[in-house]
Amino acid sequence: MPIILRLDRVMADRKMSLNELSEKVGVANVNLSKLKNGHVSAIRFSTLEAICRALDCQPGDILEYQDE
Amino acid sequence: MENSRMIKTANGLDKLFKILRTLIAVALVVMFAVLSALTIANWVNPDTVIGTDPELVDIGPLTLELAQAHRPDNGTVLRYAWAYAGMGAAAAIAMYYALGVVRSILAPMKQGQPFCQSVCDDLKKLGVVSIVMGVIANIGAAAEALSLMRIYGLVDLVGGEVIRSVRVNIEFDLTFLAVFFVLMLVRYIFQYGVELQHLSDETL
Repeated sequence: MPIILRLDRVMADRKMSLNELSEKVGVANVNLSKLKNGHVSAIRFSTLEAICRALDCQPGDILEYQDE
Repeated sequence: MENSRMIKTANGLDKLFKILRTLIAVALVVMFAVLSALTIANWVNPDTVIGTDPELVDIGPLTLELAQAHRPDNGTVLRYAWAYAGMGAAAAIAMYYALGVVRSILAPMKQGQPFCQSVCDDLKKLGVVSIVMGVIANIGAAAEALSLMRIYGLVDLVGGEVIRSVRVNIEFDLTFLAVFFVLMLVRYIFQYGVELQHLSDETL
């Protein structure tokens, strides 16, 4: 898929672990790991909103479009 | 939640079908045990009389117009009983299998997840069973008429003193085709549900 999730990069910038993000967002770390590794086909606005709030970033910082 | 109602209904139906399957199995065993015992003892109700007055008597798909009361011998009654038991057993076994398939359809619904590939496969199986049962029922009706004619030796009796005429009432029932198409339609709906469920599961 040409949409790539850059969650690991933003998490590294904020020095936040997966467990910490999982607690703040309220999503199981297994699911967050899937999200980080791009193993999901869609993301809800509510999840995106919670992640952006926890990481203090914009959706564009997490999502990236790459031409195939 | 609506989901909990589905789980409750699926659990209730599953218990009901489990009891029905057990009853079918027990009834089959009892029926064949009683018939075997009767056959070994060569015993039937001595008062078995067909048509106490000249009248029309329906036996399966046959309508007999009797001129006088007829008392069939033990062998005839037992053969007739075995033929009926055989057809009943075939229907009961098909029903037993169909109830098993329905129970496996209910299994994921009991977990609150109705949209599974296994449900779609089972609905297809149920459709095939409905076709098989319908064809067997229609062929069975024709076979019943032919076997009854042989068992009672009706060809020899027609025009005699006991039977004035024989009418064979065979109708081809196509209800099973409607059941099949409805089941296939439900299957396609569930197939679409499986795709939507897959998308939902992959959405965070």
